[in-house]
Amino acid sequence: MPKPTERLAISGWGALTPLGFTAQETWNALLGRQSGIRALSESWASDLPCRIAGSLNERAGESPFQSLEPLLQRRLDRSSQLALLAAREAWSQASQQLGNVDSNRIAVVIGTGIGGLASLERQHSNLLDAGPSRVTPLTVPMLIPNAAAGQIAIELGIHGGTHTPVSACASGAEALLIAQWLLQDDRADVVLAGGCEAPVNRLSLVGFSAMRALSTHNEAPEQASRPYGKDRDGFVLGEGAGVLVLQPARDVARIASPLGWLLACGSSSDGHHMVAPEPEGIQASRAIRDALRRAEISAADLSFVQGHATGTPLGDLAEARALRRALGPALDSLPVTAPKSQLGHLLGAAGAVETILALQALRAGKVPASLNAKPVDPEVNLNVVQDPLSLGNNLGQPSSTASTSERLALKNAFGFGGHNISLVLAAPCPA
Amino acid sequence: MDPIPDRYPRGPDSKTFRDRSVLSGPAVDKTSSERICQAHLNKQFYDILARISGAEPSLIKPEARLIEDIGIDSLGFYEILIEADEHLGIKIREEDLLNFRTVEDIQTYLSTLYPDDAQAN
Repeated sequence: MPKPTERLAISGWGALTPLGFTAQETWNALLGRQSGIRALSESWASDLPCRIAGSLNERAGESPFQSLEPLLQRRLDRSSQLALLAAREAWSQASQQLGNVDSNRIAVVIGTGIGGLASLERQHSNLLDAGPSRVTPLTVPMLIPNAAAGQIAIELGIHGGTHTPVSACASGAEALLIAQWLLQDDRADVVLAGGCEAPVNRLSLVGFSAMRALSTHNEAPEQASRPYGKDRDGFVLGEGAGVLVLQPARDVARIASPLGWLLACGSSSDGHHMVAPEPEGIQASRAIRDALRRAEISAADLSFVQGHATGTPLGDLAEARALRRALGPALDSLPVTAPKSQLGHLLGAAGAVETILALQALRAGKVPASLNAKPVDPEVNLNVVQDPLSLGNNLGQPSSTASTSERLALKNAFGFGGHNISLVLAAPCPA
Repeated sequence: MDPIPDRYPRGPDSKTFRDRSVLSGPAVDKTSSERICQAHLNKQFYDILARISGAEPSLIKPEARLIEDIGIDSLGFYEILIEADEHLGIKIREEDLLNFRTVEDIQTYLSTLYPDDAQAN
């Protein structure tokens, strides 16, 4: 039997996504059924099979990157810039509650699927167009996947460890798993954990398109991402970052009001194929069961499931089967939602950003709708949320560790390479 | 991490730019660069230094030290090579670059490229 894990309190979060420049803006837009997906009008996208993506657009001349110092704008890849901004938002919120923490006891874990791909692409173009003398010395520092974690540690003066899981689309969720290890192993008292990705560029779109992973519903960007939908044809790339600040329950006395809790992380690996999921969801279901066991809860304790649900024909079906295997008949009455229908797929940032959104849903007692899923694929056979759902006072049947004053959610994150991460999240019920 | 590579000359015995023996003349891409007056060239170099370092433009003045006052680090020094080449058509030799201590050193160096203009100014 897996060892139960100590729950972790979340005292701050930050997010930049196609739906908003902060975690709160993102949540409001998600609940308001807005879409972050747009047509790419840039000339570099004109000949691509997929010409839609979720990107952070300027609003009335306002860009979130304006708050970054010019040197950081110059020296950081967009993915690292996103992570740094999310970390600033999260730390600003958490530090009000945490007070002074020994910098030797703070760690940072920021996952990414790819790292500084746009920087790599740009410098490769420089190399081809102008020769070796025009390749900037910033190339390597900008493209390394650990740059985001490193920059956050530099800015906050963190000395308790800096880590970068690279597990494709599970990276952001795996960062939370590693945070739990660090805290459980008493290597740190506080961990900033999350993920980042900036894949809206030509090389990325070409690469994902070549493997037929992307939707080609270019004519209808806002309806293109269709998780669990019968007509889904692939995911829509998106950029963003999400960072959470976590500390163990043993230290929670100094936190006046945690935003939520990470109860447990489950994990497994498909060991099957580099990009195709194991079709029956056998290993993914093991990650889900692992998370429930470590949290010492049952499926009936859950208020809803937030799926990984990218909108690929194979992936959504495999996840549905995994959920059925792991949760059994309890799944029939569990709402399932898929934020990628509005965000797009933020790859290495997805797990962290969506965890923040799941916690906000628990706090608000409202599960956002999963858009573009009509009609739901009959093979998927899930209770996909079609309209925003109020959780009311239905708390399920709380078992040993599930408090009657909080709600629980299951969050999945899977990645190319066969990485399966499942999280059990909790948040206080709204007053 | 030491921001400055070990080969950067630091000691009093090291040859600096002011020791003209270290120079055999900068390479200038005259096919792509037009005749540029010294003042204009300095201004463009100030802009480059501000961009590379992120420093306030007001800090870029002749007596400012590149490392201590402006904050240019080892990566920044090598960025100067690329920026000068790309925007001014000036190919600074690496061995010369690493002798720059102050903004004035760069101005002096540039004046050797266009001595007539320097006198005119």
